[in-house]
Amino acid sequence: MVAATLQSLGYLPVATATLFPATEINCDLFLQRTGHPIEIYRSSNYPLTVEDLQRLGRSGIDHLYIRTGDADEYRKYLCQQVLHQESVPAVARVSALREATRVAFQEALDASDPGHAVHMATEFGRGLASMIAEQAVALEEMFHILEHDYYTFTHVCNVGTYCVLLARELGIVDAPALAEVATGALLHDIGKRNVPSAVLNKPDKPTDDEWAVIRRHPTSGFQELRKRPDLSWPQLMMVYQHHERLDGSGYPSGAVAEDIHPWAKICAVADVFDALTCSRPYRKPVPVHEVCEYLQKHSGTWFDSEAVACWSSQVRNIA
Amino acid sequence: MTETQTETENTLPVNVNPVGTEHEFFAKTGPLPIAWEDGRRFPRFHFRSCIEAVVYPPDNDPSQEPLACQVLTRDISRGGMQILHKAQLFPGQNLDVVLQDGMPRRLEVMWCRRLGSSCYSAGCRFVRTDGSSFDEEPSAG
Repeated sequence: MVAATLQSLGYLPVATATLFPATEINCDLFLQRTGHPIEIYRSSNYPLTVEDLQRLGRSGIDHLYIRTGDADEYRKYLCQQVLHQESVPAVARVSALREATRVAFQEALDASDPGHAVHMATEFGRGLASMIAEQAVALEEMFHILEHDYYTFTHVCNVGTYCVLLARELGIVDAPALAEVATGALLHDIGKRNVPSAVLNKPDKPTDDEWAVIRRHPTSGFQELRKRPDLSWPQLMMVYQHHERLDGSGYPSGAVAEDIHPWAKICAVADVFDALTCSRPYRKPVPVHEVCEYLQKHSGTWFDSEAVACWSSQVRNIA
Repeated sequence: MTETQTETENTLPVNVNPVGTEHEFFAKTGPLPIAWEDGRRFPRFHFRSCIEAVVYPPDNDPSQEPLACQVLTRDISRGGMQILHKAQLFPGQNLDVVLQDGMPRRLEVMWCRRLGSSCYSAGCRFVRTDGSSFDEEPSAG
C-alpha cells in the first residue's frame, strides 16, 4: 500500500537491483523509511557508491523512488548503462529491461488509447524474448528478481516473463514467436483499465457485484484490441481466454479445452502462478510449493496438464 | 439417450439438450420477464426458429473462412437477438442472417456463453452492413 500511496504522490519505485555504482541516472533518488515521510537519498549529481548499495541491502531496502516525471531518464539510464552492457549478468539485464518497461508501461496502461500499451508491450516482449531465448535464464533466478506485489503493471510484467519461460519449455523456441507470446501476455489484463481502481485495489475480498465487474476485463480487453492489425489471433486469445478453464467452468465464455487456444492455456498457468505467489492487500503470498500443489490438483480439469507438468518441473527449484 | 434426443441431434444444427428438449425449445412464445436490474433498452420476446446464417471469421483470425450454416434463435428485441450456435463465437464477430420476413440482417456478437456440448449462446445486436450500430450515424460512403 505504501508504494500505491507514493505513486499517487508522484513517485515511482525503482529496484535497487537495477542500480549500479558510479553511474549517473540524471534524476534524484528518494528513500522511504518506515514511518517517515519520503526523503531525498541522492541528488542527480551524486552517483551511488558500492557502499551505498551494500548499506541499502543490509537494511532490507530493495527499492528507491524517482519522480514520475523522471521516468524517461531512468529508462534511458537502464538502456544505456545496463541493457546493452554485456558485462552485466543476463538476469540483471532482464530485470533492468523489466524495470524500463514497468515505468513506461504504467503510464501506457493509464492512457485512454491502448496503442501506447501495445507499443510498449511489443517493445518489451521483443527484448524479453530475445534475452531469454539467447541466454539460458532459469526460472528460479527470474523468480527471485521479480517483484511479488500485485499492482497491475507488476503482475503483467511477471506473467509476461513466466509465459516466455513456459512457452520456451513447451517447444516454442524461436525469438519472434516468443516475442509474440510475451506481448500477448503483457496485454492479457489490459481490460482491467476499465475496472475502477477502488475495486482493483480494495483491501478486502471483492463483493459479488465487484467480481462481476472484474470478470468483464477479458471481454473489454479483447474488444479494445480486436481490430488492431499489429496483434495476432493467438495474442488476442491470451487476452480473451486466460480465465477459461478446460472443464468449461471459466469465463467469459465457459469454453472447454478444445475451444481454448494453446497460448491462452499457457497464460492461464502463468497468471494463476503469479496471482497466488504475489501478496494481496487481504492475504500473504502463497508459498511456491503450495501453488504447485494447487496447479497439480486442477491439472487436466482447469489447467492444461502438459503446461502444468512443465511449469512444475521448472519451479521445483525455487526455495 | 432417448429417441427424441437422438432425433434432436440429428435434425437441428445445434444441440439444444442443454436448454431442454426440442419440443420445449420451440414451444416458448411471448415476452420475456423483466428483471429488476434489467438495463435493456427494449423488451425481448421469445423467438424460437431455425434460420440461415453466414458466420464471418473474427477480424484477426486469418485461419477461418465465412461459414454458411443454420443457427437457432432464442429471443429478439428491437436492438438485437440471442442465437444458439454449435461453435464458440467472439465479441465483434459478424453474422448475416435472414429472418422470416426474407430481409437480410447483419448481427454483431456482443457476448458468448457455452451452455453445453456443441451449444453456445450468443447475444447479438443488429448493425448496418458497414458494421456501425443503428444508434450511430451511418458511415460516409
